[in-house]
Amino acid sequence: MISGKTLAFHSYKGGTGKTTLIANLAALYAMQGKKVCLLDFDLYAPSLGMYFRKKPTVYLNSLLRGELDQPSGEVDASSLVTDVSSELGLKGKLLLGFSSPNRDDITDIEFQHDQKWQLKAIKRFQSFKNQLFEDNMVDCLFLDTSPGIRYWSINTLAIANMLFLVMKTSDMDIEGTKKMVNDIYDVLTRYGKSKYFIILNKVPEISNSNGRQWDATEIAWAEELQKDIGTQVVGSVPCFCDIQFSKHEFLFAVNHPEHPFSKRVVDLADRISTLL
Amino acid sequence: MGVDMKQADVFPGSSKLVEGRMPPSSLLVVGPSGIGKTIFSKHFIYNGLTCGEPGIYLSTDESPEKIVGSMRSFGFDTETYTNNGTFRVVDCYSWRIGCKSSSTYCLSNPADLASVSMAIDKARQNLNNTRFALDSITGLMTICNHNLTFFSKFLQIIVAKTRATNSNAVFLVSPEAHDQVFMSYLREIFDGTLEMRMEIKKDESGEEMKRLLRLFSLKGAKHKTHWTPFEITNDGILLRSGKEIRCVMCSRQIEWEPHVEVIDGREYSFDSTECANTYKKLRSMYGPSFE
Repeated sequence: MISGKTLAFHSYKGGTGKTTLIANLAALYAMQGKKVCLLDFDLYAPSLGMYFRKKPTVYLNSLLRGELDQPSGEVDASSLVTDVSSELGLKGKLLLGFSSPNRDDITDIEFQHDQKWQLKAIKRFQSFKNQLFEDNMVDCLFLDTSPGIRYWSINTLAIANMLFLVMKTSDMDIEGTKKMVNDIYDVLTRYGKSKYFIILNKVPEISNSNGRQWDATEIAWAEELQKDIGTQVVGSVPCFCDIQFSKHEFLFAVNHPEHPFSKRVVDLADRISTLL
Repeated sequence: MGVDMKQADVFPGSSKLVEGRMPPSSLLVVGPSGIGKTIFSKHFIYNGLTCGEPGIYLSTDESPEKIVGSMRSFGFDTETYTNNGTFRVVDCYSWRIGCKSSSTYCLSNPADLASVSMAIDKARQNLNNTRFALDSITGLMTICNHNLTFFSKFLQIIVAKTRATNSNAVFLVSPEAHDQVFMSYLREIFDGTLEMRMEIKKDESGEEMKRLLRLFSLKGAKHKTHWTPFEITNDGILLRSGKEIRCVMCSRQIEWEPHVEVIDGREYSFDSTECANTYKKLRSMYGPSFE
């Protein structure tokens, strides 16, 4: 029986900070004691492996290709997820699943298979998701998706209950997001209790970004976008140069809880918790 | 794309156990304490509420708040039905605490079966085709002052009124609290008997408890009589599927009762509502070729 929630993070364009946000949120929930799984379904440009500096032996690509199939219809997921809870000193659990950054694997998923194969792959993904909730008793499953309207971003969004559109405040991002909402989000939230929300990220020109409180500029943006796109803006994170241009991105929310970015991640986590 | 829910069960799993349409029935539900009779009766009432059939729940062991709370924990949210007056609790519990009850139908002396009968009639007022659950005969017997004959008459009257309105009702009893003669009497009063039992299997890995139910008898309907495993889940009572069916969405074998939906005129079986929703979303995106 599935009682946990599946949260997918998506964006119209790349570079919105989606992976940084999802990784920090997942780690924060695990730090608070939840059992969380984060899967890298940005199959066309995976980055979670590099983010966590992991080189797994089994990737999500193997799951999709059917290499982990079992006769019962379940998948052998034992080697597919990596538990990083103890090395990060988390109170709860953080399980990670990576997709392959190898060129052959990326082209394989994008170009080498017909629709029938792709449909089988989606079914394996759904079966794996059910197993995560039933066997691993996961509270929250986070899915990092590919930006834009692509085959595997649609599939990943369809499998989730809560969709988060991460966007910047540029005109191009706003127009693109609006179009994408009209094109696919209405269908993707038609069944069950699926809902979508907006997260504003890298908001520029914020005068006071030290605490959890939103700046007047952020409130104005949220109100405008809520009206324009027609859904709730659930989070706002100002632009922090030290995070955006740090040599190695990592889990600020865990390692530097006093950093203003971390405070905003806590704020976002609390706001999302009320929606779960 | 047309999507319809399969017609809801009359009682949990009835569509698996009864062939064709189930006639309106008063069912005796027999099983030891803790087996799942109470959640079975709550599931039965809630199924009715969602199909537009009002429900009356008589409890000797729980306050109205506790009933509503425990139903909510299984996803059976009764608030709307309480507010529109189609879900009513006959409270035979709160007399112990001076009738401090949120129910309009609270009895100060449930030991008097005539007043219980009147409270049930009052709760039935202005309602049609009402489902009724009595939880439980055992609880009522422990507090009432009457002899066996009087108690039988009390039950016979409720059953007759249920039949007269073509409604469904369940009456719960724990057999270990009564003698054989009383249990035989009871089986005669009702239209059918549903039995529940626990099976404990021991092997090297330890003990495994399995809940089973069977429809021992049911007047006017062809039904299966074999013991069927069931589970108390987050969604209430679920019967295990008898044959091997695979979920259309995740391809796994469906271990429990499948979630069936009719999509574009065809029946599809799913492992869960999650799988059904994902399937419908993807089918809307990719069209009927998504099979």
